[in-house]
Amino acid sequence: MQNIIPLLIATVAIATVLNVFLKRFNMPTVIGYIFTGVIIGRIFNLDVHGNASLEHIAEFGVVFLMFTIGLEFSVSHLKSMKKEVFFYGFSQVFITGIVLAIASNILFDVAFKTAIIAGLGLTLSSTAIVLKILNESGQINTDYGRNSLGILIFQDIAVIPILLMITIFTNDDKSLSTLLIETTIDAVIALFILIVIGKYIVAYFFKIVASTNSKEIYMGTILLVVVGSSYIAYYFGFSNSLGAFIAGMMIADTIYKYQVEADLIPFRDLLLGVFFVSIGLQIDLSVIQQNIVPVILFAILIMIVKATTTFLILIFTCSKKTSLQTAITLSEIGEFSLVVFSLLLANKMMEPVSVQILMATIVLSMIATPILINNLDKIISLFIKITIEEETLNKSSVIGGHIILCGYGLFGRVVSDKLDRAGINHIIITNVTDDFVKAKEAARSVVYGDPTDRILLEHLRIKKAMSTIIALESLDEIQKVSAAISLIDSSLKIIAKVSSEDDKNDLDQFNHELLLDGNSHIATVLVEQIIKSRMLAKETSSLQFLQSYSLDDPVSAIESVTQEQARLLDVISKSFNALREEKDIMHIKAFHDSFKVLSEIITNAITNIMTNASLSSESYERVNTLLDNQHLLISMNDSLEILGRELKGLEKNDKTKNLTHMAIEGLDTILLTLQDIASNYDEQDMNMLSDITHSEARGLASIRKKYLDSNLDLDLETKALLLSSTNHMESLRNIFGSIGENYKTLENINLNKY
Amino acid sequence: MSIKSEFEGGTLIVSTDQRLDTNTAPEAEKVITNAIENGSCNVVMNFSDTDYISSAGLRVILKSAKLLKPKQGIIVLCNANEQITEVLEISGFSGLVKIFNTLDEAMSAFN
Repeated sequence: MQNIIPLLIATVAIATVLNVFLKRFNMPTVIGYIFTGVIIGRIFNLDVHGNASLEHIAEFGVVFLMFTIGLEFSVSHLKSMKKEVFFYGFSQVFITGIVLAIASNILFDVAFKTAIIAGLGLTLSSTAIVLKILNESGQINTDYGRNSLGILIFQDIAVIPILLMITIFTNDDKSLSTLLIETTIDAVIALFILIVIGKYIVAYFFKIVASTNSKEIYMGTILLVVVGSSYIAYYFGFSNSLGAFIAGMMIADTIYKYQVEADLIPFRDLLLGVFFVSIGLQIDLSVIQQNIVPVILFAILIMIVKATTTFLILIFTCSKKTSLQTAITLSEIGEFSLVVFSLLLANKMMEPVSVQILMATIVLSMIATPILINNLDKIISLFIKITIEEETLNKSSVIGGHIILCGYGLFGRVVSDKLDRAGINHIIITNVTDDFVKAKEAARSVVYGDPTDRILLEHLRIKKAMSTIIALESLDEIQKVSAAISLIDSSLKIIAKVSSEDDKNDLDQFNHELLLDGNSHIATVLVEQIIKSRMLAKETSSLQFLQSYSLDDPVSAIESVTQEQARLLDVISKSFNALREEKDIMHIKAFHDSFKVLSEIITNAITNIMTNASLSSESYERVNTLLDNQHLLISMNDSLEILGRELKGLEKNDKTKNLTHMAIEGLDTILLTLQDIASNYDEQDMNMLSDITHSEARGLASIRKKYLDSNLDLDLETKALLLSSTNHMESLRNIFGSIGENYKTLENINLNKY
Repeated sequence: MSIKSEFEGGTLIVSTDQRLDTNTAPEAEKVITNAIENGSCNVVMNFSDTDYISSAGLRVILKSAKLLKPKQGIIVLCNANEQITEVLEISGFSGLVKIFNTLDEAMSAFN
């Protein structure tokens, strides 16, 4: 125990220093860990073989890796990648396996059985290195990323029969058929247990755990699932990794997928680090020193063979570029090969020196992988010419330029709706089950998970995102998410809404692109609207003719009322314009309000004149007509206010959208004619108004028939709106006609009297 | 020119542009008014190329009808699409002017 602490300190220190140094050259941490293993092995004179606990810990790195790979592979996903996994994967393993088995047989002078296992072992590429790099760069979504992923998955599954072959070839107690039957039975039982538990129990279990809102319990559950599933597989004679992979696949179909992945990644990366350190420990530098030339030659030769066979398999169905990219990406020999050769050594199927040379070859090829993938474009350009268009297409397939929306509560939903309407690609993160369900129902792109989780945010490519919007209500939550984002990259832009100036100050330390004081902002917009409406109402309702009228001069008073009343038509006309210009509801409401103010003053004036002034019989007729007009105008305003709302409703439906525009134009034409009559009476205008407003047989029946009887298939709400709005249109047309008639009466009284 | 006009047997045929609105209505009004002042008594408004008509466009029809009435002339419309037919229904114009399906039918109304 006392020796372990200096060892741990030295390992962590060397790994940290090496990785910081290698990061400057854009090299992945994998290489740093392997070199750390080599150095530590040398300093402490360690060998991983025989150190069972270190081997176990290292193995769990791969177990966790396979679990997270399983998470990416729901059954439905696997179905959608049938070609990549089963066709490309099988062809690559089978063909490359045969070629490398023949090569092993010749080069290492081993038995045919051993050559088959060695050949298949060398076929395997590094899931740990390739997936890590492709995921981090977003290249996983490109064509070659998908191909690589599919082939790697098949290789990971192929590990199981390869390991099984070692057991079969070294087992002399039982016959081959007995072994195969036993293995099949065990496989069926193990799969049955894992699938039944995974599909029917785990999701339910996670639901209960998620409802406790405890991160510890959640983490404990994830570890239990991973370790438990790997143990079940191990118990039935399979690899721990297979159990973890199946468990991952079972969780992949649940909403907890992303959060589980995010929570597990720190463990996985740490344990994978241990795994790679253990690989470094297996390298015997003295063997490498003595065989440096064969090691380099083998590495180059095997990588060329693997790349060539993969390229030849893909070239018939993929583009030259994609085939070459996939071939180079998968040309290395992977970590599972190390396991295969360790077992060949343990079962004395291969010479220790040969195994050491091959292990060094494997490690060298793994070290070369990040360099190859990071310079893939340069390497490809040596072989094929890439057009700018191809390059652009390739880059656009990598997720980027999206918006991350944290939270899908009331505010989040509004933001999401607006982003959706604007056609802006966005992804929602929420750990509230109800909100998750609502987002799913709204067909949004949503991930169930904690928005404060850095790994989850990185998984959603926050660094490539256009912006991140924090739509959470509590300041504490906003602070946590802001802190998590700042830790990923302090230059990342955040947009958030807070409820007070104090909250705003509390968030000053973070790099907020836009920090909205929500309440203050809404209040400002609201008050601005009200002020605008009041100003508008005041302006339109201010009296122009009725400021002062005298009951002693009823004729002038009546004339003032007539002119002021005609102004009501101007207000109505303005509200038509507001409807036409699709102004907001507050704007339209301002005109209706100003109509009401002006109308009340005019009605009072008419009543005052009628009751208090001394009027001739003709004047009584005029006042009476004006009063009738007043009632009609009030009805007109009321009908128009309702119609405005109905038209807004009809506008939302594509099938009735045009009708709303036509209604406004049609009714406005009649109103304009009425305004002409009111301002300067003309008999011909009046006749035309009578013609167009005469309701007999000229209702809107044809329009109702068109929209309600045809195959338009309108929903019930739209049908109701259509019926009601056409009724209001007819009613308005009749009112326009009646008001026109009143102007005709006024004109006749005028002619008779004056 | 967004408005095309031609005479056929003393009848003015006015073919309006894609939209008859505040931008194009003054031109249409000018063409028709000039023709009526120069003695034309019958006007056909051909909407075969027109998709949309606003209240400004409808007012051109009204003004034309008003100018033609003392001369016992008439204005008729033809080739109105579904949308224009709708606005003519709502504005009540179908009670004021005759609407024909084709230009030939409209011309035959004068014969």
